[in-house]
Amino acid sequence: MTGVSYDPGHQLRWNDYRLDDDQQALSDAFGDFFRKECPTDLVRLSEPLGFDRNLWERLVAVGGVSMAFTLDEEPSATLVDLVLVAEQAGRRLAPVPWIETVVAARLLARLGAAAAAGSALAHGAPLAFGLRDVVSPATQLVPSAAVASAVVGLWEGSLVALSGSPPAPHVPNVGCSPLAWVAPDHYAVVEVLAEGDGARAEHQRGVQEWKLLMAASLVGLAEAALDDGVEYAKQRVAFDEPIGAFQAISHSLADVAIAVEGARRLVRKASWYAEHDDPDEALRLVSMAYLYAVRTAALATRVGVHVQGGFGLTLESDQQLYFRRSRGWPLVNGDPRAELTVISGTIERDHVVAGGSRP
Amino acid sequence: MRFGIVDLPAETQAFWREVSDFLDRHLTADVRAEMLASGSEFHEGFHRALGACGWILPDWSLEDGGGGLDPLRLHILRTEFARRHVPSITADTTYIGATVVARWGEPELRAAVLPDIAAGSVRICLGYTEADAGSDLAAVRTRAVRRDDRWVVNGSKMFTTGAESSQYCFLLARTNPEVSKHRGLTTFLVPLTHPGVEVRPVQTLGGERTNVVYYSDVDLGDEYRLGPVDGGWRVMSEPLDEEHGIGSADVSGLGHINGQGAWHLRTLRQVYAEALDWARRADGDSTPWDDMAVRHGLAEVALDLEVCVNTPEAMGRVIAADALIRDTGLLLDLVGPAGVLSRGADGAVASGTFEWGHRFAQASAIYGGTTDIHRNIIAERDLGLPRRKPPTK
Repeated sequence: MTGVSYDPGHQLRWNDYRLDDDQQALSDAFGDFFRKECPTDLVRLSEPLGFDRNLWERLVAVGGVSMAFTLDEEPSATLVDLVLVAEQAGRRLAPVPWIETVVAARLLARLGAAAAAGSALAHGAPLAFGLRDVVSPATQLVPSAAVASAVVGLWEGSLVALSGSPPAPHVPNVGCSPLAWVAPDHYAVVEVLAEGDGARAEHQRGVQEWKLLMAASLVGLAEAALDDGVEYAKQRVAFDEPIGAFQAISHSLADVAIAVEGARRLVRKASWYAEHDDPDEALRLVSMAYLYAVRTAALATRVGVHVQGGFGLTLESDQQLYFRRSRGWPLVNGDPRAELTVISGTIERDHVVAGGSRP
Repeated sequence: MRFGIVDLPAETQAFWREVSDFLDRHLTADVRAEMLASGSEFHEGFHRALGACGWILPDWSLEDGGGGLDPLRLHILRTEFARRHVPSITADTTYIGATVVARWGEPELRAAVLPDIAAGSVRICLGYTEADAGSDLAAVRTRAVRRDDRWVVNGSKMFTTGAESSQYCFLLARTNPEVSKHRGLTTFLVPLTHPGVEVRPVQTLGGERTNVVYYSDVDLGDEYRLGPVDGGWRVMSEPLDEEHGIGSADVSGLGHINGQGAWHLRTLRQVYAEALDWARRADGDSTPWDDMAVRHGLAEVALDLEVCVNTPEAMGRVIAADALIRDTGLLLDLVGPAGVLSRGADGAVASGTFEWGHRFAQASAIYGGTTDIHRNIIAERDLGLPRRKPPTK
C-alpha cells in the first residue's frame, strides 16, 4: 500500500448524481403518465399475457417510443433519459413491451434497416428482442415476442429481423410477460441485418441497453414494493403497535431502502458512462448495475411479501405482483451471476494483467 | 448528472503534487508502522507536519491557522489522503473538537487552545460514551456538579480513543439529573493533565488501542464549558451528525456521497488491493486467479465497493460497514489455510492482512453509532415509520 506515488495523469472526476431540469421534467412527466394510466388494477387485468394495447397506444401517442431512436440525423433521447423513463414504467409494472421495442428500434435505426421491420417501427408496433446467442436448437425464449410484429435477435451468428407473421404463441410464465418461443422459420420474412463479428457486437450492444433499462425498471419495481410495504407497516397494528415500530420489520425495510437508493444511483451512473462513450467503464458499470438491481428487486419483494405476513401471500396484495415480476422479468436473460464473470474480466483488465493495483 | 473528468487548472495540479510530495516525505514506512502500532493512528511528527501546512484544519482560514483550502483543494487533499490510506483517527477527533471549541468556546479558551491545535501540538479526543451507555448516548452518567463558578466532574468514559496522545477531551457530562435525559447534559473541554484524570488502555479485537478514562473529583473552571448549561446534546449532535453523514449532502458535485462509510471503504479497498496481489502471485504452475471461484469472489468485492460509493449518507454508512465485514470474511475464506497465520508468522499470507482485516472490520458496524441506530434513523427519517413506544414502567 506504500509506494503509490503521484501519478501526473491522475484524474479527478465529477461525482454528481443530480438530474438537470430537463431530466427532472422528463422523469416527472413519465411518472405522472404511468401513475395515471397504469394503476395496479390494469396490471391485474392484463394478466396472464402482460400486455395492455390501450396503454401501449397511449404511450406511443405521447412519444414514449419515438423518443428513443431516430431514422435520420436528429438526436434522440439519451440512455440517461431512457433509464429515467424505465424507472417510472417499472414502478407501475407497466404491461407494455417498451424495453424490447426501444432496444430493437435503436438497433434497427443504427443499422439503417428500413425494410419490413423498419416499417413496423414507423407504425409504433411493438418489437421484441432476443437476448441469447442461439446456435442449436434454433429456438429461444424471447421477451415481448408474443405481442410483437417483429423480432430482432441473433441466430447462428446472424443478426436478423423476423416479421410478416402473427406473433408466436404466448407461454405462461411467473412474471406474466408476453414471452414466446421463437424460431426464425416461424416467420414469413427473415431479414439479415448483420453477420459475423459485426452482428455479435451490435447484438451485444443491444443486450447492454436491455440490461440497463431492465435494471432501471427493477429499481422502480423495488421502490414500489418498498412503498407498499412501508404503508402496510404503518397501518397494520399487532401487539398494540403499528408493526413498523418493531425493528424486525423496520430494519428489513431500511435495508431495502438502502439497496434501492444505491441501485438507483448506480444504474443512472452506468447510463451516463454508456451514453458518454466510455465503453470499458460502461461495461463494468452496466454489469454491476444490472446484477445489483436484480438482487435489489429480489430483496425488496421478498421483504415486501414477508412484512405483510399472511396477507402478503394473497392475490389481493400487490406484493405478489411485484414479487413475480422481480424474478420473471430479468431471469429471461439467464442467471444474473453471469455478470460476475464480466466484472472479473474488467478486474483482470485493470489490475491483474496490468500487473499492478489501481489505487 | 456528470461523472466526467474535472478540468483542473495548472495551479490546482501543482497543489495535488504538493500534497503527494508531502506524503512521500512525511509518511514513511517507519511512520506508518508507528501509527499502526499506536492503535489510534497517531504519530507526533507526522501530525505536527500536517499542522505546519495548515492541514489539521484544512478548510479553516489561514488567519485561524487553517489551510485556507477552497472546496476543490480540500477535495484533492482528502482524495489523495484516502488514496494513500493515511491513518487519521486522532487527527479526525481533533478536528471535531476544534470545530466545537470554535463554535462554542469563550474567547479566552479559543485563544488558548486553537492556535496549538492548528499547529499540531495539541490534540483532542472524544469523551462521549460510557460502559453502560453504548449507542444510547443520552444515558451517560458521568456527573459535572456546579460548585460556585467551577465544576466538579466524576465518572468514567469508555472508548476514548486517542486519549494517550491528546491534551484535551471533549466531554459529555450530566449536569441535571432532574430533567429528561437529553436535556440535562453539558459539554466541556477537559484538560487531561488535571488532577483526578486517569487514562487506562483498552486493547481491542481489531488491534486498535482505545481507553477508559476515569474522572475523580476533577476540578474544572467554567471557562472550559462549551455551550449552554444543559444544552450539551445539541452541541455534541452537530458534529456527530456530520460524522454520520447527516445534513452533509454534498452540493459541489465533487465529493463522496457516502459519509462515514467512506472510512470503511478505505479499509475495504486496502484489503481488496492485497487480495488482487495475492490472486496473481504464482502458486506452483498456476495462480489463484485461474480459479473461477476466486475470480467471482473478487468480483463480488468489486461490486460491493462500487455499490457503496453510490449509496449516500446514513445509508452508505450502514452498507459500507456490512460490506466490509462480509467481504473481509469472504477474502479470508478465499486465501486458504495460511490465511489464519498472524503477521510475522512463517508462511503468513500478505503479512496476515486478511485475518487482521476481518478482525478490524467488526468494529465498523459499532463505532460512531451502530448500524442498528442508523437503521432506526433511516426507518424514521426516510421511511416515516413510527418509533416504538417506550415501555410503561
